[in-house]
Amino acid sequence: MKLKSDGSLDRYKARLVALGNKQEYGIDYEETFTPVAKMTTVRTIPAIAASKAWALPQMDVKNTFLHGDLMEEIYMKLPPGMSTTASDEVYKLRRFLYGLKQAPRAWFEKFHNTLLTFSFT
Amino acid sequence: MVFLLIYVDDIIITGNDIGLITKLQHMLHSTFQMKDLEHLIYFLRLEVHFRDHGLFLNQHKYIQDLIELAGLKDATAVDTLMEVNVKYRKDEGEPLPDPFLYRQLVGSLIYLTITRPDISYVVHIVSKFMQAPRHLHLVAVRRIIRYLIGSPTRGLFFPTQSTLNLTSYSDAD
Repeated sequence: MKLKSDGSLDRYKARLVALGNKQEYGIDYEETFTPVAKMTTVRTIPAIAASKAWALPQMDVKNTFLHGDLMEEIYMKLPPGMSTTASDEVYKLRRFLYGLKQAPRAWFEKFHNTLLTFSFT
Repeated sequence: MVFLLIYVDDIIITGNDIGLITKLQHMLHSTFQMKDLEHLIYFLRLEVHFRDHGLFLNQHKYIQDLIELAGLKDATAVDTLMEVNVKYRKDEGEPLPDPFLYRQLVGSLIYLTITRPDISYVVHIVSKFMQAPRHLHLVAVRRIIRYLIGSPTRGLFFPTQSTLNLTSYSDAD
């Protein structure tokens, strides 16, 4: 539930997630490492921006881990109550879901490649 | 020249070319769904405050949460980080029945050193006992946190008028 500032109901939120703990290496996923910035670097950026009086905007990505391009062939069962079909059915994923082990890595790769297509150099 | 820093889904952009920054923001917007903020204000629990003569970074909220976590909300502040002339040993005092809270508190203190280099030394001392913390060690941790009660808004100030020069080196084997 998302509440408004006065505590009243704003809207309901729900998210379908995959159980990454059921994924098998070599079948459902390969590499999972993804880089993040070091905190010393995070601290350095504002330090430089301050000393040069540069602008310092911030952005954040919505639904981050849904953006990656899914390379593996992954099937999942739907959670109870989501489908009226037979319980032995599985569904093939066409896009990333939260919970998949390689989701953070795939997001970073997507972001990295996107930046390169901007051809800023 | 534009710098972009990304931490999973959080992005900071800066650089000397405001036009290029704006262009980059537009390009990112057209590719991903994004939320935009004109100024960096809160990033990985670091608070960024724009002042007339520079930028001020602190972790005020983080410190308040840490005081709460330690159960020291109503405790009084102390003026020093550690007792004088005390040497902490790994085998002195009773072992903590559950080291979880100790590790959580020290882990938080380590994260706090980002904007609080003044506590670095004592945090280093208490972090030596993470493996098998004892009551005396927890007393030392609680004292550090009581010191923070007296200085919760302290942080780092980066003045606009500085001669800071960024030089970078890289190495690859």
